[in-house]
Amino acid sequence: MEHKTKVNAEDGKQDLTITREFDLPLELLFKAYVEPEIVAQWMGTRVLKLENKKHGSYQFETTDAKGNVVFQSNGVIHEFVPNRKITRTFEMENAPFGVQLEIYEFEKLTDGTSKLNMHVIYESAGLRDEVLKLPFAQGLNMVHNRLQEIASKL
Amino acid sequence: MEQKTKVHAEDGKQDLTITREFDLPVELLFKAHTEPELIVQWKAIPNTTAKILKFAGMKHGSYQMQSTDSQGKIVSSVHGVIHEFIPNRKIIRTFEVENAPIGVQLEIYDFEPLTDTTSKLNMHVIYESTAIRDQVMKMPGASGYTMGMAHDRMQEIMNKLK
Repeated sequence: MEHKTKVNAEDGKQDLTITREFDLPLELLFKAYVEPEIVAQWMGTRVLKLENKKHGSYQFETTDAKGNVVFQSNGVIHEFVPNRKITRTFEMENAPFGVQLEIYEFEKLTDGTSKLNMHVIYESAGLRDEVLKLPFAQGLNMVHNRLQEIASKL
Repeated sequence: MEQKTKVHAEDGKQDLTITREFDLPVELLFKAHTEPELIVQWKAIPNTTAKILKFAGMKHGSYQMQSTDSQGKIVSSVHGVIHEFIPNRKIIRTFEVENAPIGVQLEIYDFEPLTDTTSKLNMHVIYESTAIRDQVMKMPGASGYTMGMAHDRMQEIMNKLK
């Protein structure tokens, strides 16, 4: 089955774009990215910090059933325009992928549908390609499916 | 005369590197980048006054700087967030010139000690696209020459603190 989340990565470039259309009003899609309790549900992570504002920052941590930390990430928020745009940095801690610049654009399609346009820029083409070797597109599609499901109930 | 500040930009890429060796211990080089009173002295564009409106030099910190001309008119306003801050070693931050169509850039500053009294700045600047990088490189304020002059000023100012 074709993934609803599309990843477009041109050869030799150090950036990529990700797009996904949701059956959610724009405001609800945006809410899913900024309300800690909702973020925690679809991302399957603990939200230790999420300051939704220009010059804010965030920190996520995921633990396994035994309470061991399996994933940590953090970043700073450069720009925050409600229902429109978030520009932030992202780093997976203790991973060799460096820091990335992420630009999220939230676009209204109809009253009941919206589109997420992400532009992710890595430190190098090599690092981007390493990230793409992970089950990246598939993983994103899965979490976006979960976002759709969870936000639909709101 | 050869520029001491070297800009290296490969064709078709959306990033560039800037390197410069200073006759300064790495601690002073780092200080010049992180103490507001020093930053305003060497960063100010000639004939303007730079003012630091905010400088939270730490992980998850942020900064904001403004330059005004002799009549007090704002000529440039820049800001960004600090992703990583390791004293005397590394700063990773975003940078944006407000009201300019050149997007946001990710900047990685590596501060490298060479000897006890010399050090090297390695900057890696990543733009939103190749087109924007190429456009920035054509601007007089962003050229290696201007950056080199600012670095010359920094060297001079910091010499007095040795």
